[in-house]
Amino acid sequence: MPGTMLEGLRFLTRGKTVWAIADVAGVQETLTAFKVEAAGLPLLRKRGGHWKPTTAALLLLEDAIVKNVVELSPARLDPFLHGQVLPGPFLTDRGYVAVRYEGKILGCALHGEAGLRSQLPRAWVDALMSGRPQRGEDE
Amino acid sequence: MVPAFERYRDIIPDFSSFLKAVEIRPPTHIRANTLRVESDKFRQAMAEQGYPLAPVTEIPEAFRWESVENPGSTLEYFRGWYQVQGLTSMLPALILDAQAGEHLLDLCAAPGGKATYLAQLTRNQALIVANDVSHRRIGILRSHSDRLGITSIIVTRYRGQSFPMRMRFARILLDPPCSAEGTYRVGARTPLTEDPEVSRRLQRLQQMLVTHGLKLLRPGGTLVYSTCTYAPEENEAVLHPVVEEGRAELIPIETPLPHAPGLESWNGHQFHPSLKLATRFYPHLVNSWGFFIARLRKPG
Repeated sequence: MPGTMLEGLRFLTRGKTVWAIADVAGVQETLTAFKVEAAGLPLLRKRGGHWKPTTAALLLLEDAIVKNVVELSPARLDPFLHGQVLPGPFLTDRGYVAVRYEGKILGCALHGEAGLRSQLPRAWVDALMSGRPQRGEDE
Repeated sequence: MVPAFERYRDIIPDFSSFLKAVEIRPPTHIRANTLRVESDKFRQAMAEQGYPLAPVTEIPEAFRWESVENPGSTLEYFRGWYQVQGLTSMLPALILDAQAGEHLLDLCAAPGGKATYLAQLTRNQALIVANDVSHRRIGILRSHSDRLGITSIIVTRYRGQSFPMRMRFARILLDPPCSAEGTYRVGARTPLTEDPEVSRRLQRLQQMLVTHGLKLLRPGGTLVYSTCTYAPEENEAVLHPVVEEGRAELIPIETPLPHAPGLESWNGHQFHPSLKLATRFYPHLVNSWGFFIARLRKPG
């Protein structure tokens, strides 16, 4: 990843989240002064002993993502959004991968033995689906 | 006619046009997230997806989207290319005129439209403390902030009137809970102020918030106070004692959208004459939500 992608950011681990926050003068004092609910953008979250990249991080770092990317076809988008496990094979490593649709990053998925499962934030998917027709994979 | 609005007959210019405007459904406005995509490219990309947008000439990143039912149900929204936000609701962040490197506080920030716009305007290079007391609404704020790729917001959850006095901020945005009359347009909610006691109760909270907000402000700093209500009890009457007692002074606002000045009197009450420097936005002047915005400076 080009170093410039992360310029101007500092990173901190709090609990089960790694955050990226703008490196503005005084940020450390501010973080110390208050009880903080969120500090910038969540990059990684710990799930079952593994660090999972967030969809927000993949969107932020979109231009630097060149490996472990699954391109979704139009027919597979809605089943994926509905939480169905998409059967493979996929030419990526097992584990967390980036999903791309129409040439642009959509977010995070887990490539497991059974296939590809969405790791997209539920609230974002709910907003997206609220006005979309329900469609199956065969259509 | 909406009965609650009758009491504004003498203060809203061209009152009959106002009444007609509130009976018309307002257009949806959205703001291109220029942290992700340039405004021109955004508009073109939306057009290619079959979403025609009309530019708002006064605000380069703002667009009008006619006849859309679910503006949040597109992949472009999912990817954080835009935020749905009322046109007048964009103004407080613009008027605050925040600069890179500054420490900013949005005291009642959720659901986050203004705080995320501040982050956009400062290119993620100011530090924004976005505070709200509501856990549920903070969840919405965080979701928007993450989706839009904001790295400069720190979220806290304190009661605004008792936000810890551990540091002073260069600029503060205060958009307190209000009766939200300005969001009454056809198809939207009913106004709450048919009982003026509601406004008076809110006024007490708003006065506590503005008093505390000024204490959190550095000397010479700027506080922008905004509400989406027409009620003078929640606007000029909240700011009158602050200005009268010399705790802050009103400073002029430059805004590209048509508006009326703040009130100097209401219902037999005289307000400090400088309150005319505040701005009132009405739906027959700007086809969006009704809004009140004042810019205050704390003495240096």
